[in-house]
Amino acid sequence: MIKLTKVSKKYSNLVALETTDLEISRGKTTVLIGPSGCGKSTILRMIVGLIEPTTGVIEIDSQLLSKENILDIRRQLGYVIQDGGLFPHLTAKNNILLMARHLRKNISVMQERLEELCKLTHFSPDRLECYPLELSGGQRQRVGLMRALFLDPEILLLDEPLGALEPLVRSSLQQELKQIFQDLKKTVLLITHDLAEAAYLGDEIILMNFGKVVQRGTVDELQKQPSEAFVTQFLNAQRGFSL
Amino acid sequence: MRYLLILLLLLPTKVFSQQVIGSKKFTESYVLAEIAKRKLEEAGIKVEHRQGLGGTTILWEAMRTGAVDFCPDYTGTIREAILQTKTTSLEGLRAELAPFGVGLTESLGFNNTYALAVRREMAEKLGLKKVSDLKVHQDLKVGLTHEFQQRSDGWGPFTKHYGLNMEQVKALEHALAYQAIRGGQIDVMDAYSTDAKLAEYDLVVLQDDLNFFPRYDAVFLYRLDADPKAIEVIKTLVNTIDEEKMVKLNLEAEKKADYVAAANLYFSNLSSQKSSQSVWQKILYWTIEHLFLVAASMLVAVGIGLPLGVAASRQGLLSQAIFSFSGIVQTIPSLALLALLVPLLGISQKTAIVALALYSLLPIVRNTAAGLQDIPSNLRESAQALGLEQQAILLKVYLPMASRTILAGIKTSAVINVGTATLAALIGAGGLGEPIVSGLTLNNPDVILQGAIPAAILALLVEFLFELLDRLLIPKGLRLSS
Repeated sequence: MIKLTKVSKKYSNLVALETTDLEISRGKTTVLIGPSGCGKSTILRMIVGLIEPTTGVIEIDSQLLSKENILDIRRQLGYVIQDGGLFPHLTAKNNILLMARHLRKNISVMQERLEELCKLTHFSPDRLECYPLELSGGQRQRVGLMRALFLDPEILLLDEPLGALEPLVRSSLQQELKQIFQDLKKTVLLITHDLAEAAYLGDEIILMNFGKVVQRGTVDELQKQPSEAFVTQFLNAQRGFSL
Repeated sequence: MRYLLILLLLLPTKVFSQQVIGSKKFTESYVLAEIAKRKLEEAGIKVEHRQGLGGTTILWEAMRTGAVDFCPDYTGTIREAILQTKTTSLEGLRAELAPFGVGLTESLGFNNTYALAVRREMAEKLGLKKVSDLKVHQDLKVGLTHEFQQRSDGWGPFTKHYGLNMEQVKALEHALAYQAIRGGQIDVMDAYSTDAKLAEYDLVVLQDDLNFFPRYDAVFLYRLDADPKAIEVIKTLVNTIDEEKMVKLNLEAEKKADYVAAANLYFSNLSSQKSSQSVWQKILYWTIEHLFLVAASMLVAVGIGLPLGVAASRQGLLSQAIFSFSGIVQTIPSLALLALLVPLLGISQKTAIVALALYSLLPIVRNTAAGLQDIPSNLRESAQALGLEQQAILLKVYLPMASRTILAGIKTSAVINVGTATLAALIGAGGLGEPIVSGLTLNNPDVILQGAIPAAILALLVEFLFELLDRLLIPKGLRLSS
């Protein structure tokens, strides 16, 4: 599905990602987790083509990522960032429809899809004409999700999607996301720094540190067979109220 | 509707006739041009008077390129400033002008040069008629401008030429000299021989009987390819105005603050022609011209400034170059920029529009670049991740998001432009600068206000218009944040 072969990313004197091979399995939710600067965002942003790898290649559905096909590939991906990444000059609806309109999709098809997604994300359709600044954080995140899902991409990439939300909203959105991921059976790659969230949402967890994958597996596996001391350290540090 | 508006704005540019008279921005030049204009009109020739052009260079450039067909000038100016030659005879000057396609009439009948002036009653009492007569009155008190006293061809050589040795000579400000001579503190002063103040203060000019001063005979320059009938008409002005008459015409112009009225005095044996247009009509006309200049130059400035701003929003050498260019343009004094452009583009509205557009560039470029740079990087990435092409990202996301800042830049430019556009009058491009320039020349605040007040109102209107545009163009979602 998503395959990284000998991919690394270096800035002039900083290694963001050591040479890494990685495969993300189809139809599953994989969570990238690790402390800030561990390279998890770098991986996601390279998959979307926002930054170029220093070495190695990325394949998506067996297509090699290149400058020529990046636009096509991006259209097969849904990308959601913290706080939704909505454009303030467009209403919720226009944010969601931006790309579909650009591709001149059929209006009635778009309308149908919009209603469907409102139901899926529990977003009240009468808020569709609101501007991002008129929406709550949770609503903005739902709109961001609808925008990413609108063209029905096979792959969904989420970079700290719930990072900016207060705990109650966050917890209810976590439940909704889990439901959505199960229903849609998309390939999901999600970044979080919250272990509870990772455990709750992810079929599989990839723990990273200092630009390297430390261990890959379920939370259970990470707990019971830590590959190195850091894994236990990381798990213990997060073993707060939520675990 | 839009086309109608553009048509309306274009209207004042070239509806007028083939023959164009130019004048420089001083009273006598205005009056002579107005006289010529009326003469031509009476002969059934259509004329336009491009008044108050910003100096000899600009007017000569206009003559040379054919933008102006006729203009009054002086043999001294032609000799010193235009041809830079030693030739003094009219025949000689005419021969040197011919290669430029420009002809020269005979003298109009007066010589506008340095002269010595004395009070009329004193001249009559002492029998003073010519400079040589001063020899027997060396006790008279002389007041001179600093310039005349110090010039190498000024007072020193002058007294030597006439063998004068005046006992009391002091230097004082020209404007004060008139007061001083009326009050009797001085008896003799230097002046221009056709200065309106000579009549106002009842002074007479002493004849330069030993021909010390260079000749500044008033003449008309004309394009050799101008309408031959028109040239004949202009030639009928030869030898019809002497110094005294010119002084009176200048005085009339300054007193009534209206050079059309002064020109009418020239035709005094005929019934006085009323000013062709009412003040309100004139103001309306100037305002439309002004609006056209502002609108056209702003269109050009936005058309160039926006893409430049977009290019400058990306870091790099190009961005540096663009900011440097638009910054440097801003530091060129406006009159100098006009003078630089005249040899390239001639004197026309085109030149004014180019100059105004250049001046309007900086705020537009800067704000466009700043507005784009201010877009948060996470939103940039969101836009890219959608799979939009670069151009679509710019048009659908970046520019709308930066619209508030960009529009603020355009607004700043437009308001400044309304003010700067008054300078267009100096190169004959019309607009509200025309009454301002002629008002300054006539030293008449009323005439200045005829241009200044509408210009100020226009600036306010432009401000208001942009408030409306803000509502129209800035997406509502962005206005929420303030």
